Amino acid sequence: MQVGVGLPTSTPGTGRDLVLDWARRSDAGPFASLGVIDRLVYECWEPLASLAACAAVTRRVRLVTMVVIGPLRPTALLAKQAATVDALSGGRLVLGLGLGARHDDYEAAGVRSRGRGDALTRQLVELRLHWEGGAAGPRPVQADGPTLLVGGGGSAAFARAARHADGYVHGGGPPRAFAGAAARARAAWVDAGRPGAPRLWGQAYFALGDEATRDAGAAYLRDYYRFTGGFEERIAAGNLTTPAAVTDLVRGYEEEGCDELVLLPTVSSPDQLDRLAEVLP
Amino acid sequence: MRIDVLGAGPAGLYFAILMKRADPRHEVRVFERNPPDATFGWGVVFSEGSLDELEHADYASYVAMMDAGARWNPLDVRYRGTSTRVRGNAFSGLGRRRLLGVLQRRARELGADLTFGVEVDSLDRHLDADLVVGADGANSFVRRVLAEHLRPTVDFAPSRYAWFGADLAFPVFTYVFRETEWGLFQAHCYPYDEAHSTMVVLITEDTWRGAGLDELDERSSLELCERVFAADLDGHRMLSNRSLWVSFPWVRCETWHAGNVVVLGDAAHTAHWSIGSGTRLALEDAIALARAFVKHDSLPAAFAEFELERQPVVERLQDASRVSCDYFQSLTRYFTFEPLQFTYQLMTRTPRVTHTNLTVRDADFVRRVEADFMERATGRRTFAAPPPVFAPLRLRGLTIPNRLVLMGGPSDAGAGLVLSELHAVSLDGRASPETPVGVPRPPRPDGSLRCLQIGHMGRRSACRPPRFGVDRPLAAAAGWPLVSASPLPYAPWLPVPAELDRDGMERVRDDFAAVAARAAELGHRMLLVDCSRGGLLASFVSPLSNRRTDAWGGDLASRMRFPLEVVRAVRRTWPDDLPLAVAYSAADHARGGLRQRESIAAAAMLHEAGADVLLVRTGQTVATSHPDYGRMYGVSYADRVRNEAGVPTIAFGQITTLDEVNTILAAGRADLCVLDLPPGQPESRSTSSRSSSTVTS
Repeated sequence: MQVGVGLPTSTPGTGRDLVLDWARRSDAGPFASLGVIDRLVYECWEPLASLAACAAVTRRVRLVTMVVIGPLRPTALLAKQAATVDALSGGRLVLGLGLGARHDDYEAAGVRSRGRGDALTRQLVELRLHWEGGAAGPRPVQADGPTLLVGGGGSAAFARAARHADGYVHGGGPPRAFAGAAARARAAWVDAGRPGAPRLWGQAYFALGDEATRDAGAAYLRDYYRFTGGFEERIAAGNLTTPAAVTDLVRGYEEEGCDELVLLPTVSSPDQLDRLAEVLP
Repeated sequence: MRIDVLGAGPAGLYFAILMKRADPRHEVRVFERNPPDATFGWGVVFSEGSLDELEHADYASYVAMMDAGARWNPLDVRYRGTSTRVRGNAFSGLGRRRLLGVLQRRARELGADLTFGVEVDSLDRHLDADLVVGADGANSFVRRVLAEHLRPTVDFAPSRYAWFGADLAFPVFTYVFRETEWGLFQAHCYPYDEAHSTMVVLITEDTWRGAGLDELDERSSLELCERVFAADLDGHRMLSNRSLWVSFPWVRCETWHAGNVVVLGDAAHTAHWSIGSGTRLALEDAIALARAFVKHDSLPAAFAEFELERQPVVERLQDASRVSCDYFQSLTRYFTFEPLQFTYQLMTRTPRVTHTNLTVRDADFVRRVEADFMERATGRRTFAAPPPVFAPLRLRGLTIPNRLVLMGGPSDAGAGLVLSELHAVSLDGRASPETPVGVPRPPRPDGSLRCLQIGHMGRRSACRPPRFGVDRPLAAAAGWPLVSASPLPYAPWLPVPAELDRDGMERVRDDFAAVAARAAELGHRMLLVDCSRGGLLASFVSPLSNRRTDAWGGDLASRMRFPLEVVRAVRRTWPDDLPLAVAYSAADHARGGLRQRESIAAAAMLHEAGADVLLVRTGQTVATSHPDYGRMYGVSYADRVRNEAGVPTIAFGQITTLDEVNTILAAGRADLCVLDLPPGQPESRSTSSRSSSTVTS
């Protein structure tokens, strides 16, 4: 299993220097990938634009969206953006797509949220067609296009990942929750008749440091997930705030067959990278 | 902290006890509508060592409960005039009144304030409490008042049950199945003290009406049950105490807290009583919530901890209890089973109990099950036999050496049957240009018995190889015209197929027969005709893909006409002494799809037309239809087809361990199982490659 780190693009107080420096240092450090998350109606940065900037200041790490809310974007435009980031990064883009969990994102984008599952399925099929030489270029640098991942919790998401993507990206939780999702993703893969096995990605939030850091991380998660109406406390409680919690989770995900785990920061502080790097095996 | 607990059932009282234990300064008040000695229902049952937690949480009440209860470990299944015993199931029974008495005394002893006879009908009275606990049962007032926040769902099981007592102590936990003129009556009986038992009687809605129970009063319904279970009561009486016939309510909530209010036990979630876990869940909830308050001072943090800890556990038990409930509602389909297998099936009704678990509980019971299984497979009785997966299966003149089916690949050695990839019967039926056509070669002579899959992908033909996804059409120039039952594309982005006309049907039928003949010539010994996954034959079966108005569309018999014609043609060509399998989709998982009744009828028709065994799959009828993926997701379909249509089945769908395979086989849910190999871990070849190089040199 490889371990990546999230980019602080939605944590409060982020800025250009922090993000670009973070990207450079991740590229030099032990991390395999840089991940971004997506939400429209929130004080956070656009994921593909952020990765484009990272592409310019990194040479090695994979750049991964986990996940972009696909149906908010017209497919031809998304195909072009993704191909551009892939070109700028020399073929390092991994494109994770999902539905998001909020209706207000759809309203703000002027997109109907009804039928969004089918829309995402179709988008996955059409992205490949664009990349293989549709009217709207360019072609991605990666010969077969960027790796496509699908997120989401229900059987429809597992089926979508198995039929139209290269793998599945889990939404977070303890290793046991990941294991359950991974088993279902594999079952859907076999059912679809795909050769080999799906790529399996995981993610988790962390905040390492003193009590103020932990509190700030929890406050951010409560705010970010306030729309869940009660669930935010549980997400905040799951934040990894000790070195032992991080290593336990990393070990647990590795045992359950995760291919790549991305640890997402919950505070906009550059020392998080060093603290995390120190903890990792 | 000032704590008001609404409801003095096991959850509420136990939470009061634990909070006072943790810190005597807590002010704990418990409010209950009923008088302190009221009892509705008789005894409660704890299973599978769930008492360990209680021993740790509060030893004093644990000891008092143990002194008041009954313990046993065998259970009996009374079925078709026989009684079968299984040992090693740790159970404890306890009168509900005694349990509440123990908990009330203990709560008072620790200084909790208990008030009985007050209606719980407003949260306003508890505004001065720091924490309000809704422990007011399955019919919770608190849950209803806070529905907007807790977002509960309540639905009802389609059966009726009544909670009786009896003035005899059944020797052990006893399942009784009595067939009557109105249908099956089953009683789940367990002793809870020296002289009394609980008898929960379960019947279907039809039986309930058929027996007139919908119109009988409490006394008459009790008498009717006494007559049904006369042999089991042996002169004793059943007892009724508001023992009404009710439907079980499934309660789930998205969250269990709102503001400073939290719900526990049945108020928050119910699990069907047939796995005996309601009281256990309630007490464990109380333990988890009390522990959360040891760890956290703030309510939100404690509630988060409580839900993180309990929700996964509760969901798993709820899922298992739903499977158990479904089983008890539909078990007449197993009434052809011998008593031993029937009992095994009952024991393994949820995935939580497997062949290995049962072996640990009662090795001798499993030995007899295995010997029976082998005897049915071979006709030879032995004292002991290997586990079911090692039993051969005779189909016509062919003996499949064991019950394990693997998809052909690098790790398929040792399987009883290896399934080939799909071979198209004609060029236009290829899934992709890489799909093999016809029968290119004899079966590989490597020892494994191989089953050749043949089919026509219909409107899913002419796609790219599935390396980057399925249903990706070939470029127009590379593709070819598609055919299907009706001119409907499989997915919106795929080409529209032509409706298969009669000439086309005859050609396809003859292609299947020709390929079967060629396969026989080349020495293949088992053949599988694909009528699943939205291919050409499957497109005729499902009403979602067959909109024909001619003789091949409409009702099930018409929709089955062409697939059956193909199966018969293959059967005529294929040697009489060799078996023919058919893969079919037993469910569409889409609105307007195949009905359950049709699915069973279709299986019977395929069997009658010459399919010796059915590989049961589901979904993929249309591009958006898929099974609900989960552990062994396809097994219930294979089970239903096998035991309702009476057709041997191959189970498919996330079966990942030999333990699961043994359990499925021994329980009579399927005759063969497709094992999903773990991903990316081909068997280590290092030793064998070394030895093979020695052999070749």
